[in-house]
Amino acid sequence: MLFFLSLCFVNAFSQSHEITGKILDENGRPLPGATIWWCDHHNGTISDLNGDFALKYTSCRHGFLTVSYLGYQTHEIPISDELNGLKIKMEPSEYLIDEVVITDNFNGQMRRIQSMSVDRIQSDFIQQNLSGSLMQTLSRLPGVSSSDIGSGNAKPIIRGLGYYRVAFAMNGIKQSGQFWSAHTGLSVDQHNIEQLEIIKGPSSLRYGSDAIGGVINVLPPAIPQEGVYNASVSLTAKSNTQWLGASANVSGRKNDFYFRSQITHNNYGDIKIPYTDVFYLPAPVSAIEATHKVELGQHVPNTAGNESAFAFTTGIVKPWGNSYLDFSYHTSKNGFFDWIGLKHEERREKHLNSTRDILLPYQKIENYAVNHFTNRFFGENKLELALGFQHNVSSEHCPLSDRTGNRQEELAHYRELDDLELLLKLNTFSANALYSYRERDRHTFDFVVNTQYEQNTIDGYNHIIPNYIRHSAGIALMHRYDISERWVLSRGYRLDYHHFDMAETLNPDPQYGDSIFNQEFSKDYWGTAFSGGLSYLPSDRWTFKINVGKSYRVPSAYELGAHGLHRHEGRFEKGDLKLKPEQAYQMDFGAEYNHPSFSVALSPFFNYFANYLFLNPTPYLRSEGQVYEYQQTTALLYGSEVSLLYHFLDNFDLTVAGAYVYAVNTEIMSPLPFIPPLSVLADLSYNFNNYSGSRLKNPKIGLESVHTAAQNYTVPNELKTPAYTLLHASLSADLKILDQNAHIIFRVRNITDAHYYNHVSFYRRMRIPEAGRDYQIFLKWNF
Amino acid sequence: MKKSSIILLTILMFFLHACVKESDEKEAFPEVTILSPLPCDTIYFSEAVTYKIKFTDKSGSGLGNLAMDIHNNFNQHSHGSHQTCDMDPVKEPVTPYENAWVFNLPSDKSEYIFETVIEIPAKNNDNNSHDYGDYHYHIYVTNNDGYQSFTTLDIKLLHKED
Repeated sequence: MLFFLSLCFVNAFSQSHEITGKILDENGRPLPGATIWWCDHHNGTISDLNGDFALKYTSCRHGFLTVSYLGYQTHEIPISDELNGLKIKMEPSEYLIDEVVITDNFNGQMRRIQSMSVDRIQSDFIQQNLSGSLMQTLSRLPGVSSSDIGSGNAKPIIRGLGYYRVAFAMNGIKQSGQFWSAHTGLSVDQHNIEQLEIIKGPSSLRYGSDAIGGVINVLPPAIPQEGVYNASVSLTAKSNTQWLGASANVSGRKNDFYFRSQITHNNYGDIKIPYTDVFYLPAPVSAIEATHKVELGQHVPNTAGNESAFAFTTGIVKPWGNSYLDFSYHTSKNGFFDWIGLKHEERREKHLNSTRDILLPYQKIENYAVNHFTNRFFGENKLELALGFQHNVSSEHCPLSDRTGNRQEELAHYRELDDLELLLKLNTFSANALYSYRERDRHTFDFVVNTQYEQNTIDGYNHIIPNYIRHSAGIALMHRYDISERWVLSRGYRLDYHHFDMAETLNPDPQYGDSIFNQEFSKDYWGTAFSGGLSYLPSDRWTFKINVGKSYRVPSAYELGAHGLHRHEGRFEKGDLKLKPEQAYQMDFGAEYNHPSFSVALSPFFNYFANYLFLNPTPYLRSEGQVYEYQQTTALLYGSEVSLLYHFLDNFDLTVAGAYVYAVNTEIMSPLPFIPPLSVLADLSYNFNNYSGSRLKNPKIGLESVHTAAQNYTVPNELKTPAYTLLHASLSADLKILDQNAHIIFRVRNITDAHYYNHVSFYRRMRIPEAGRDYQIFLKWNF
Repeated sequence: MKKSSIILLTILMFFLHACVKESDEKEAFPEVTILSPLPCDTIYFSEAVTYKIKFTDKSGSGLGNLAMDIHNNFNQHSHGSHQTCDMDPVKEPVTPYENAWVFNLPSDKSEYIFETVIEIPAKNNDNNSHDYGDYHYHIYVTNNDGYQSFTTLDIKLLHKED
């Protein structure tokens, strides 16, 4: 969001002008209360009772006039001289069809002048592609993959970079709860997202450390209309996991005050898979747990889970700007099927009784976030202040055992807490400020200050990471220079300071294992990032971009201090206190051609890491398992995304999008772990434009095929994954149910019930295939 | 100039692709061959038994560690393609024997015959006799690249007087 502010500037003939216009609804009636922003949210107003608006403005090149209204598709119009007296007809968001959104995402004109590769997603895209969790939904975008952990939990991977390398932020405030392990997903309710942006590629400049691979930033929702209260209810049902979900939303505004609230609950059973032969778990498991014969049957036992979320936003809009408070609570509980679950036969038998129960081992996460944002305008300049607090409690439950008999008392204590193996309590305080300053019409300067304080407290019978405190502060200066109508230059520099304090942790059982788990550790890290980009817009149709920069990432507490058996992975993971911050040098290109009936985009990238951090198997065996240690190497990752959109014969839309990344450890010319293979998506849809019944509107059918190539380029002990092709179909329409406007989507995922593995998914490592055929229904009412 | 740099990068990409060694899948993993005891042998509690295991590493990185564990097979499970034997009837473990060992292998060797003598105690710390019957040995080996292999040995473990 803040990023986009830098897009505005004043041109040479800048003076204060007034623009007037009228906002209409889908039937051509005046639409009062719509929010109109000039020049990408630089100043704004609200349409009056007659739908009219008048806006004082200063010239803005390459900017957009944005009209938003709850329940309607946000309208973005490139700023030009012909804007005055404009009539803008708004379309209800339910009318929005998949491909329109996709067009917007892949080739959105708004991103033309930004030298980075940015995708912006609206809630309609999420609705249309609604999957088990946010990342699974977003993985439809080229270059974005999700590391699935069962059906309702996933971690982001962007252009082959994942785990600790993608930052997740709420309107610029980084969230840290997902960082502690490979099986902790994002704590977010996807129904509560109106829009978000994905920055592909190193983004440390704006977001600091952790954003080395990219950013997923949830943007604030639109401000509701004055005096009107809206409500919506949506229901989701899926056959495969017997998924039942409901979400409700209310919002309203009185005078300058507004609120928005969302409540969601999802409940799902075990994953149903296509017929799978008896197989043996891969060898790298601890000597004690051993490798076992597995006969899965129809379901993957203990993959059931649930998710509940509540969010409340309240704010105030004034001529000077706006200010709002955002509270959100998200909790999830997910069962795991792992080595432990396999060993205990009586446990497996118990699972057969129900496909909905969640037994040991399981993970429970509770996440509270309170954020406060203020935007204050000073003429052409703007100040943004953000304060955030996040409280994340992540607990792992697993059958506990005492090997030596020395820990009976503790064992009894943690057994009482439902076999609490690990507990991590993370408190994060954040404060960000941005001042956007414009000078001599062609220059925009953004000054950014970010600070964060993170405190982790551990509990539980076993150990994986120590108690630690981390604080960081960063300053950045960004500059955009509009050289001419066709050329835009952007650049920036950032300096960061990080400090880690880790507490000493001793082994509670001196007879078994190392005497010290973690030694006391205190260290400062400094990081710098810079970036320079050039956009060239030779005509309305062509866009060319280049961006060159350097990003960095301070190692996470896990990479520095991990010490213990990672149960679900069946290996002993060890951090290294001597790790240095990752430094990445990146080059991004973009070329795009937009024609009224088709568009093509190509975005290649090169990423060189001076010290890429990864978990590497060592020759060391312990009785708990093979030791994996964090190491660093030089690495090169390069690839490209390609997309093609074609609208033909009035009713047809074709989307073809592909992504490829090649990653190599350049020190020993070998692979890097968990790199998603090449994938190509083709989607053909037919829109019954002309059909408009009294009850049914805008029916649309779509057929999608996703081809994913094999990944045979893998590190030691990482399984190779064969290629697969999936087929999906969907049918959607607007209709009246109980006299209310509703939107319905019916989908079949994996029509052929294909047996396949997702290379980057958690269960891949256990030779467990992905979900089989799934019939899904999504129904949403607006009141 | 722009064109030439793109061509240069493309050439660089192909060059890199070509440079990368595609390691032979089978040769990357170390091998384990158990010379003694043999599958389905009977061994006795409180008897010193010599274990002779051959490790081979064809990857060139050298041998890493060896881990060995022993656990009961009273429920007649299987771990893959190892030879199975005539088994006693399925039973519930009461005081099963369980242990694990880790040894370092000489890292400069690509072939090594490991020999050790292990005596399995007849009784546990509480002076109860260990359950006799079918047991599994697991032998894991790593090489210095981090590749891991394992094999399983089916053994009958009996008390001398039985």
